[in-house]
Amino acid sequence: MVHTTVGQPVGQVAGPLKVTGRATYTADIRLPNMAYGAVVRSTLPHARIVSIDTSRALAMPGVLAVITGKDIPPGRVGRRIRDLPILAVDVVRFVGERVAAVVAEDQATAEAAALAVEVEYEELPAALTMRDALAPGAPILHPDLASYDGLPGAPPQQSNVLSRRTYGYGDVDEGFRQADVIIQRRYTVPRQHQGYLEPHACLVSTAPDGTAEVWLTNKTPFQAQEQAAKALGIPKEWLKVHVTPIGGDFGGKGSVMDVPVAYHLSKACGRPVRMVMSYVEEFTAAASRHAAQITMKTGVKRDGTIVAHQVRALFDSGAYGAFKPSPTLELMGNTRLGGAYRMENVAVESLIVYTNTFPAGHMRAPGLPQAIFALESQLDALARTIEMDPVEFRRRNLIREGEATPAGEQWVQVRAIETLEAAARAAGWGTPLPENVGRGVAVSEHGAGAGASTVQAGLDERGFYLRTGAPDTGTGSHTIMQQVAAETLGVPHHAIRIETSHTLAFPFDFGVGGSRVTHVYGRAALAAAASLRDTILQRAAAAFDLPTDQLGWEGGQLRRPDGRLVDPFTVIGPVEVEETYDSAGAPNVTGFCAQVAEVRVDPETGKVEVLRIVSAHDTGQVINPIGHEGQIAGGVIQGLGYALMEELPVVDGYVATQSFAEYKIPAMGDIPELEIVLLPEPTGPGPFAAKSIGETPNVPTAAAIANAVEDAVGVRIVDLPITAEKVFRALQRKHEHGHHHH
Amino acid sequence: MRSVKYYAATSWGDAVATLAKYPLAKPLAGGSDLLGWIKDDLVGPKEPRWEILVDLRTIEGASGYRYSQGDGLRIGALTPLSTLETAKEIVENYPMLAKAFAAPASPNIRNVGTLGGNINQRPRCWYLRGPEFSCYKKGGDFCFAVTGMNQYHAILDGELCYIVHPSDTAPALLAFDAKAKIVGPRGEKTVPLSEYFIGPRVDVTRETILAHDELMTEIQVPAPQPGVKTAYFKATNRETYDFAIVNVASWLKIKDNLVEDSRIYLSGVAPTPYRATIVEQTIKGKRIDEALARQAADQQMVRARPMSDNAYKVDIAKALIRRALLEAN
Repeated sequence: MVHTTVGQPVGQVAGPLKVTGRATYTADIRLPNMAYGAVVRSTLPHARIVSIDTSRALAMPGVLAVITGKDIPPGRVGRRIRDLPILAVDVVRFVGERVAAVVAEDQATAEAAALAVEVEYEELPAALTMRDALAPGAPILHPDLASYDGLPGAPPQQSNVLSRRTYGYGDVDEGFRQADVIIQRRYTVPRQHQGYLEPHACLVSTAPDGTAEVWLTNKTPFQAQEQAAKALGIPKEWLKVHVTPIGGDFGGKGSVMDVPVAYHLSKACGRPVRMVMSYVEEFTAAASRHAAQITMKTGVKRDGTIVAHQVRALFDSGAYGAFKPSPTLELMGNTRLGGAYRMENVAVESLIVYTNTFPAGHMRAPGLPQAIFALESQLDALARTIEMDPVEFRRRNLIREGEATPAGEQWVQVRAIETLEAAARAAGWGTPLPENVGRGVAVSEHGAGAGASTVQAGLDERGFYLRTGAPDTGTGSHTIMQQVAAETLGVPHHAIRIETSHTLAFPFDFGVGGSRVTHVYGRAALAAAASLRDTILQRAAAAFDLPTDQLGWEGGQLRRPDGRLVDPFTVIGPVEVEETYDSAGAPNVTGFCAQVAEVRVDPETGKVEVLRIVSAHDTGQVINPIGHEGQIAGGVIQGLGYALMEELPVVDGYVATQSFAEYKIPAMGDIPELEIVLLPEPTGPGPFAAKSIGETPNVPTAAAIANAVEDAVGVRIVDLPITAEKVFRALQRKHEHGHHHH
Repeated sequence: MRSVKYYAATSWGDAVATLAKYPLAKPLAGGSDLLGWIKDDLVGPKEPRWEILVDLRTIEGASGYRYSQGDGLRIGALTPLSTLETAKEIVENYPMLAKAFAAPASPNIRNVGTLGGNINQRPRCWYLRGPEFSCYKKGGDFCFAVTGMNQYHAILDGELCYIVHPSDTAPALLAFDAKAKIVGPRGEKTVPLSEYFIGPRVDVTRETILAHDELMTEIQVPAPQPGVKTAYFKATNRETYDFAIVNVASWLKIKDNLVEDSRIYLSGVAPTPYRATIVEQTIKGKRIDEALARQAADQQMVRARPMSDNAYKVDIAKALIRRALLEAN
């Protein structure tokens, strides 16, 4: 099909506003009489609160109110499980937990007053690591877990395990008996912060009757409305939550953060209250990617058949599960611990564990970079052990149409092998490389997210418009909606303006997440645009007293039988339609991604330099090539950071990296040449056969780089990030080992 | 960020007098680190909450450089690094210095960051930079790096406090035997940069000899000499915008293929820029080859006392010393 707007590299709707600084982010909003909030946070990983003395803070000029957990109705926050107190009562469970809050005439006074609140603690034994938390006799973080709202299924026995999932089939012990080679390794991956430019911010303005208007940095405003209302114990209709521009999300902007505190501060002082998290708070108390320890034992035959795969994965939840949106409190990556490979016998166990560290949340493809780093490293090591080419090993084992994954997922139009081969071809797989240079491959996949969403389309005196309850988190989702509607209405994309609504004026909207935007909102926008066109034609035909088929539609205008073009607004006036798309029944397809990394290792220092990355995608129809390429480039860079440098180490409960000087994300000098390969003949459930792209390109990168390092210098790094030091030490051990043999 | 008073100094004398008058005044140069320091509210018993910033950039003549064949190079302490890294006279006559001036941070930070600021910046230790840690440097009574995570901490000369010197430019200037001009209430003095830095044993709360009301005004680099070979290497976890795990600057005077004289400095390894005197002694009068470079680096690092997490720095320092010696060969 030939498209006019779909597939064109058009700029983002909000691009000019953002680059000229005119976009109004939450922190830019100023209300009359606005006051400023600040939070007092726990300084111990696990402690009983003995007393809180707010008198010094209250006495400071400009301070309007100070609240503690005892001053507000009890309430706990959470996206599913509500286990995080709005303000700690009696106990704190991580360094950074909210203990009290201050509101003042200005930000500086609020911060100074927060420092003046004196909290006396009695320290409790802490479980700082998953090993501590799972040890017999470990301090139990949540003895009352069974009573928490939102806990799925039967409450687990008294332990620090928040959720446990097992799956598999066959008999792995029998499989291992058949294996020619068995490898068992433990992979560890650190916490990763999303690194968005805009920190969490909110502005809450309460009325005397308890209703409130809320602005916040959130990708799911309607779910935020429910979260905040439940935590506050008020009807959700009391909260008018606005859809705001988002300065980067990467999965991290799904929680309400300071909103319940700001609500109580606003009630306490009778004024609107603004709260913006500092980046120190972001690094120490936001919703970073879960750290994990993944132990894999895998057996293969000499011909490459995977006969047994046993996994125990531990994900570190931190002190609360509140930031996890999955009803089962799992991470989606759980289901990818065997990837999309044919395996004869499988046993997977995956645990989410409470520890006295800051709560983990969601980040771009939750759980997947962890799972795929472990799996694709493991498979590569196996291929090398049986002396089979790593691409060939994967080609033999990737599932084909009609087969299910180890977790039981079955897709149609499976293009795993084609995607792998496209990447290998573009990377020149098999061609010779200089000394200390190596190539590594890794494969992942992500489906197009599902669910239902509503889009309104209309025509008024200013022209065509779309209205949505979903923010654009910076990915270009509003532009995608604009493009598919423009294609349908036969107008340029800029002829359609995008409006956002708020939670009291628009049907419930699930919001952004799980790579669902292009699919679900795209299809809803497409349906709304088609419905708008049909409605206009019907009404205009009635107005002209003509049969509908006598009216044409050209470039957003009506073509009358006499050939004249007429502006539909002049004929029928304003019109608005609403369409809901529900993905139920859409074909179950996934989008594969195969990456090949080429690295050079300095054997004297261990430093890894990534020379080139090829990223191949079975991506479906690309709606906007600029946005699509941006997602891949940004994802690869985020994956490269995860591979080589990013981590939030927690020492005695304290996060060691509290600024972007210490928490390193890749800078321009680290970013290699990127070649993107897209598979032709798109298949996808989205508009015009589109799939998803947001959560694919960051996933296989770390494993591809680890595999390339082994290819270059013969050492296997199983703990991310792959620092120069780890490579250097591994080279040293390899050298000593070789020395002993001679 | 809390608000602070701003004062635009009109002369060095004015700046010194203002600092002398107000114990809570702090000199401001590029501000790329100081403003973050204030924003993070890093205070302690001996690290006050600064209330006044005395801007030195408004002092006439504080920025800029001049070069002459006889006198060498004189650089105003307020000169942005980006000016220096591309300056024709520096690139041509002191290529190693140009490399060092381009090493810190990112181009945008080097546009505001000054040479004086780079030399006088506070260390990067994450305990020093963590508001909740009351460490020796802030007037506390503990070094958290001793029992905590210390992969970026000192392997040489650490005592009490195990910070490493963060400056990329200091080892390069020291290798050239540069001097610092200092102004204070009692007038001006010039001191060799080799006497400028102080370790924790002398005063754990500061890193230089400067008193509260003294300021570095100028750096003086001797004229280039014939027969000198220099090298500069910086090892980082990230290609740009990162502090050194180790860096090495070397200045070797070679005559008839033999090392007549040398100055080799490291930073990122000790609380002050560290002079590799054992390397210098080992190579003196000899012709550098692979074996000698290895021997010199290994012997120097016998002195190293790594902590629980930072033994890697020893190996990196050895690798960079070898490279610096062989490059000068």
